[in-house]
Amino acid sequence: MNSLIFLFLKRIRLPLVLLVCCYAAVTLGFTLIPGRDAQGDVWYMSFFHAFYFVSFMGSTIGFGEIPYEFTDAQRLWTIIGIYLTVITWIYSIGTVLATLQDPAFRRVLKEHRFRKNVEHIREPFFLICGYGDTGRLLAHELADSDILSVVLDIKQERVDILQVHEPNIEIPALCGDAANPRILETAGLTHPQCKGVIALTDIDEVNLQIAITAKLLSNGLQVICRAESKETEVNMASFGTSHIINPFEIYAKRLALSVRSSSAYLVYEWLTNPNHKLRQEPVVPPRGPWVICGYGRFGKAVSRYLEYEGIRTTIIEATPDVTSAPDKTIIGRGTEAVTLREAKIHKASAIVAATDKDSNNLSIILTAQDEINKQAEAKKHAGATVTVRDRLFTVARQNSNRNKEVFKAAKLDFIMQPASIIAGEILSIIKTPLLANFLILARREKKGWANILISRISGFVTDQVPDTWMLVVCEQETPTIMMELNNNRRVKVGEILKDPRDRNRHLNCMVLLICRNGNDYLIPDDSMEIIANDQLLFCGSSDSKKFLLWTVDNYNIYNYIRTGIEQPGGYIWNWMKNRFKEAKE
Amino acid sequence: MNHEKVIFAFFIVLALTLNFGFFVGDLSNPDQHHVYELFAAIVINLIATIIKLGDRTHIGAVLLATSLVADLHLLGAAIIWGIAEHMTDTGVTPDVISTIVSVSGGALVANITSVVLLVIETVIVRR
Repeated sequence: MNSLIFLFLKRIRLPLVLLVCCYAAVTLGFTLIPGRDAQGDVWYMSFFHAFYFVSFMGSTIGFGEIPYEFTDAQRLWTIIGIYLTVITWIYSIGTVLATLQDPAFRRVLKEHRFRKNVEHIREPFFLICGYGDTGRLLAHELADSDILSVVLDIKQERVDILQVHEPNIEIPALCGDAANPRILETAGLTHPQCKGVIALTDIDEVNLQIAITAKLLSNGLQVICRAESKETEVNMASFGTSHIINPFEIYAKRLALSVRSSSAYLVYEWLTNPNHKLRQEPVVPPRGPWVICGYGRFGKAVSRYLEYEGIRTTIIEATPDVTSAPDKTIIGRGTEAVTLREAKIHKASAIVAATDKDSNNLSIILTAQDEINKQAEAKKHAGATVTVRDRLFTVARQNSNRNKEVFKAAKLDFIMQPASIIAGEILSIIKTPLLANFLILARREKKGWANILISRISGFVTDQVPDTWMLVVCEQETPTIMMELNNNRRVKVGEILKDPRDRNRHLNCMVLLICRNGNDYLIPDDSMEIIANDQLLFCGSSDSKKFLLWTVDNYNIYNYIRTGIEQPGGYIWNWMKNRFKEAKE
Repeated sequence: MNHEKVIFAFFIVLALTLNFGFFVGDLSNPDQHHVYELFAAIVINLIATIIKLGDRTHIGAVLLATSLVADLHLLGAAIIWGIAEHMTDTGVTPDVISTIVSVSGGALVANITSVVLLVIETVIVRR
């Protein structure tokens, strides 16, 4: 704030000096010029009268010629005085306004206001560096979960548009370079309430810089970074970044998983997707040969994971030397029918449009579908039957959120949106950290296990994606369970899952994981005991979440569930009951 | 030859000299204290205060403070003079003049402090 005031004062020095000189000169003139009083005698204005007159002349009020009528000499001086003072005032006010409008001044003002806002934060918050598609999605989802975030972005338009997207809550935002440690500190990196830094900028080096700065300047702050190249990923891992998210690797892994076991893939989708879409039936990608157009980071990752699953891939790439494509790559962009035919699209069962331009990806898909349709027509003409296999499975990469509607209209089987993948991963890391443990364990299980899990979850949730949440058994979160444990009573999983409205019924949720002292117990059954400091991961409908939270918080409800008897609550009633009991005996 | 330094020092020393010029003379003799000199002292002191604004150093802050003190005293003296002359029946008596001059004496001390600080700053920098 001090620098702002000093800046302002420096600018208004000249106008102020001019004002003082102008007023002084005019006042002096009035004291020197002789006037005439009521009797016609010569009379000189004193400083007091002169200053009084000049004051109301300069502020253009103009009471009149006080106390006596002016002589012509005085009137001449008045004319000079009027123009001098008014012009000086206009100049001064203009300078003040120009100073306030100065972009440098306003930037300092904005930064100051932002710093004050951040300093006054009294609840846990996350620092999001980069407000592109991913940052916007993440900030929105965090806001929906009542978690505060602070946003940094290098482009002023993006910061300005934050107000439009989130009008209901106050998200402090600053336009600045997140690679600059000073700006990170202003944004609250070293604030005691900062729970984590999320680096989502477009440039890997900047994300790396943020990770290093966060690691060195703060103690044990959670750092979640987006990395799009393998080198950056390895680099970040080497100095212990908490979580590195490479959207291409994640998606390619999931794609391969969906080929291997569609129910396991569905488990992933349901538990990590933030968009709360309506539940869809599992889509099974074919195992036949795949055509991958574009050998960038996404193309490389997809090709690698599919080959690992034993699926043959043909790669189409426009610049194979730059991207170091393997030998049998077809050179071309894939947007032309010629290139696709060269890649034997007629024999392929799936195509992946993996370039970094949305227009190219859509063009590839449309051209490929066109080719297949032509082939089907030709077959019909020849009298052969058209099988389902003649339909091409399409996967496309959607780079920018703007094109959402266009991609939806293209009716693709899978759309890879880096923004929602990253946001989904980060949200699950923040809200339910146990989910990562669960998913790692789930991947190791056999095929049938995922099917059983899917059918169980389907039993709970009919038309919406299930909710996942975490509970830690402690005084703050589950006082009723702690009370039972302190009274040396055992608490079983099945007990807390009962419906408070009717204890013979089960709530529409289940326990996915119990984490105890570093050991993980996957899908415990109802007879498993719960002890203090356990971390439980639940999955179920949102309604059942509310009821479960009620059960673990409200002693009366818990007692009802355990004993089936409605216990009276208050002291007086209990005392009266005891009295009656004594009287009976 | 730094023009800004010349102007800065000029106004500070001029403020002191005009103030001293008003102050010097018999304390209660109205003939020895001219109103125009008080006027000049006030104007130059105000200008000196304004040019001291916006300095972020410690010595700059103290200079500004002494200037503000001098302004306060001189404006006070002017107000006393104005009130005594126009708003009381007795007008400007030797009593009143001695009050006015002693108040301006306070301003004089502040201006001396200001000049001393200026000299110190110049000597330290010694360019």
